Amino acid sequence: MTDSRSDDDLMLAYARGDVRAFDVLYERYRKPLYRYLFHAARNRAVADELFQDVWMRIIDARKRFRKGAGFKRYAFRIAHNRLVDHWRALDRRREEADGSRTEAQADPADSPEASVEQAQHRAELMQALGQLSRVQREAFLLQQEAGLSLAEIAERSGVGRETVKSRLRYATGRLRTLLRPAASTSEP
Amino acid sequence: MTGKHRQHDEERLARLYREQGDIEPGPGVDQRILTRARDKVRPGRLPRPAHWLGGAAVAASLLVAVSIVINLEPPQPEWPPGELERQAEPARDEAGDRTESSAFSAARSRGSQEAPAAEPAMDQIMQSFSRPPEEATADHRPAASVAEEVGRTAREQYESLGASRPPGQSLEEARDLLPPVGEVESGLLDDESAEANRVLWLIDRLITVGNVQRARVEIDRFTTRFPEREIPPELLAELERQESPAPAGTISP
Repeated sequence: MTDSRSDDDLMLAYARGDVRAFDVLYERYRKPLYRYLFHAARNRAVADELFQDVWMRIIDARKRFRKGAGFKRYAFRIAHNRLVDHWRALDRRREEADGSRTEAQADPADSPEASVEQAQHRAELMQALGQLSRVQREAFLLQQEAGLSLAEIAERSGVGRETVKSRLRYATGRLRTLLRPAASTSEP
Repeated sequence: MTGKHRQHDEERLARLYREQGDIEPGPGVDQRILTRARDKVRPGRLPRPAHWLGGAAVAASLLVAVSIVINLEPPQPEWPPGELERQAEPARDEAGDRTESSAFSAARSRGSQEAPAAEPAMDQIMQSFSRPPEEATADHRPAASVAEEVGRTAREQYESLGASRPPGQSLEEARDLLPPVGEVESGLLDDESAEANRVLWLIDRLITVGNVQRARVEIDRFTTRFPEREIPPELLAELERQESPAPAGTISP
């Protein structure tokens, strides 16, 4: 499904009733948005719920979208806000339960079916991401999936640019250490 | 680790992340999102017109239909019955007013009797009023001209009576022989039958007063003028009775 129109033009076309424009836009951001939500939530069921909710919000707010807003930033901001709401609700439930603040455990049912090697690598990545703190993982995912700059991530997270830079440096170093065997095998 | 090596490691990590993070939404999620996107912009979801627009449209249609029916009604007759009555009333009043100021009113004030032909004359006038104006005005003479003609006729008759009156007969007696002015008027306005009746009445009066010569002349004129009318036998018998014996003292012209 190829379309030379920009993301913003597609969104505006959809707001005018062009359903095909939405199909193109959905195809472009389907995987990045889902990966972001999946790795951030570390749970397929939660990721599915958040992913669907994010797109519903995009659909319902189509009339309010303005050209130049940048659909990519727009969509990931919605996803980020939805993710933050999810974490807050999750923290409230845990505090009410036992007061612990442990991260959600990776869903064991999320093993890939493509190949054993890919499934192994994916499990390692999931495990490595799970060992990062929430803010480090959030900064890493926003950089990888949304392509946001340090300033944009800082603005989104409500912290300073240097703080985001430090979080990203720590996250990449940690992942490099955890994924070194896999990274070595992927080398040509 | 130098900066170059660090950058190289980050790129490798990002590639690894993308290669291994190729995961997709669960089954059914895509379909639900795309269906929702289509439903939101489906033409059937366009805002419906206000509910009162239906009633307003029906009312407007009825109004247009009624207007068309009214405009398509067959044209009214030129002189509907009501209009005829309305037209006749002022004309009748106008004619009455004029006659009051004419010689007819003077004749009536003298106590003259209504002429037998007056009723048919009025009927004829009313019929002329009932016709359209252009047709009625062609036949109906103004009351003033009628009065003038009546007066002229009466004067001629009076003069003829005066010229032919027998010796010793006063002018007042001869004037008494004149028919009432109203009868003269009705004779003028009436058809030939009324006129014939009037002449017959005049002949009768002439015979009564003994002016048989004049009566004979009038009879001759009557037969010429009204060949279809028959002179009453009793009138002729009375005339012959007065002509034949010629007793002494009879008035002769």
